Formats: sequence, C-alpha cells, structure tokens
Amino acid sequence: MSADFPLYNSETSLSRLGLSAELLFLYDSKRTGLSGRFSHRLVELMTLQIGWDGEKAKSPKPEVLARMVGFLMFLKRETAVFLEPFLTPTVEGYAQLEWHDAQRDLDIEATAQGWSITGSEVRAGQSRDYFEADACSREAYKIVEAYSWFAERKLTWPMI
Amino acid sequence: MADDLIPEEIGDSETLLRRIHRHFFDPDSGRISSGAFDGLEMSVNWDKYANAADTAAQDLTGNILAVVALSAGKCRHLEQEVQHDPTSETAEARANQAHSLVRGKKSRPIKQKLRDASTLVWQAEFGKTIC
Repeated sequence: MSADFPLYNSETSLSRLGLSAELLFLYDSKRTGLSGRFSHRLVELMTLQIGWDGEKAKSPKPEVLARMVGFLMFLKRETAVFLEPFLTPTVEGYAQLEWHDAQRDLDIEATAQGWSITGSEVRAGQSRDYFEADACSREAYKIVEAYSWFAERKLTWPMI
Repeated sequence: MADDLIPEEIGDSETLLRRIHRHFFDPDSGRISSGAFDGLEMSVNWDKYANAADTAAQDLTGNILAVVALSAGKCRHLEQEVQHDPTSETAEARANQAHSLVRGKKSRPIKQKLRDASTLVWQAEFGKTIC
C-alpha cells in the first residue's frame, strides 16, 4: 500500500507556490486510477488557504490528502465494487471521504491518530441508527469492512 | 461579543441558520457533509434577527451554496450549548445582532446528527428562500 502513495512532501511546497497544474499532474487520474473529477477536487482542496470557509478553517494537510488517495487506490484494488466518494475538507485541517445513498451514509475522516468511521442508516419509521469506530493507520481492514457495509449492502454494521 | 448589543436567551423553539460552504455540498447525492457542522464554537444566525437570505448574503466570498435551519432545542439535545453572541462592526464585517454560537465538542455522530436534524431553507441556484 505504501508504495502507491504519491510523494506528498513535494506537494506541500508546490501548494504554497500555487502550482496547481503541477499538483494536477502528480495526482493525475492515470496515476491514481481515480477519476479526473476527483483529481481536480483533490487539487482544489490542496490549495485551500486558511480561512477558506469564511471563518477560521485550517488548510487541509497535504499528507492527509495523500493518505486518502493511497487508501482509495488500495480500496479500488481490493474490493469488488468501487464507488468513488465525495471528498470534503474539515475545518480542523483534515479531510473526510463520504458515501451517501437514500438509506445509508458513511463518513471516513482522517485524523491525527488514523481514521474515524461513522455510519448511519434509516430504519423503519424514518428514525436513524448511528454507528462509529476508530482505526489506526495500520487497520485499513476496518475501513474496508465499513465500506463493504455501505457498498455491498451488508445487513449489519461490522463488529470493528 | 459586541459591547453595545446585549445577548438574549435563545429558547428551545427558536430557529438557528447555518451557512453551507460549497465544499460541504455533494452535488451528486445532494447531501450536505457532516463536516459543515464542526468546530467547538459553530457560528449560526438566530432567525429572530436575520432570515436565510440575509444569512447567505453575509458571506462575501461567493462560496455559499445553501443555508440550513436547526432548532435550538435539538442542538441542546445533542449536548451543545446555544448562546446568543451578537458581534460589533469591524473593518471586515458589519455588526451582526443575529450571530449566535452552537458551542460544544462535536464528535463524529454528533456532527452527523446535526446534519440530519437540519433543514435546507435557502439554495444559491435559486437565490431565494425555499420555505
């Protein structure tokens, strides 16, 4: 998995120089296997400045976005059904991957410690059940199980 | 907090308005990210003093795609404090008597629950209040 990680150290300085074209090349969809739309989104997030939300939001950390790309490349290779997520920044300078459909939501947030996973599901009567789990950086299998719950419509939230 | 504006008590039945930045809006699913409901002190407007269109217009960056409504009581039910926090005029912004804070730690499920408890009341593409 680590061999597939883009070289994010160089992007830090590129981002500060505003060289989004170079970032786009580094995260080219041909290199990552992700869509061109996702690559553009990634570069857009990578070039966000402090206060991008009009308030006090921090810029997403380049290494966090690189970790997201590495994880998605792994997920695409390892799972039968790959659904590209919505990528969003957090105000604390991290980022999260989100999958949504009419019944379920899955958010996977990169944190300083690893990953934070939250799922929710609409039950009968339109009430919602919420689930959560944490995973350290070496516990990618937990995220894959949560992803499978969403993408493969597993009946129950995994015991992770 | 503004010196010349006195904070008031916000009742549970009152409505709070939150701007949604375009980075928090998933155009494919139409869903708002739970990331839009973050921060120890989340800024909102009390609708006693500002409606949804006013709230959207306060942002000068052009990046606001939507405004959602939350009930103060629902926020409190999710372990948050709701406080009126009117702000004075500064070089960057006008005074805002509606400004309020949803204060408290927002765990992942709390952020999702705040998102799920919110109602879309204004969208930029229409440029008008929905309801």
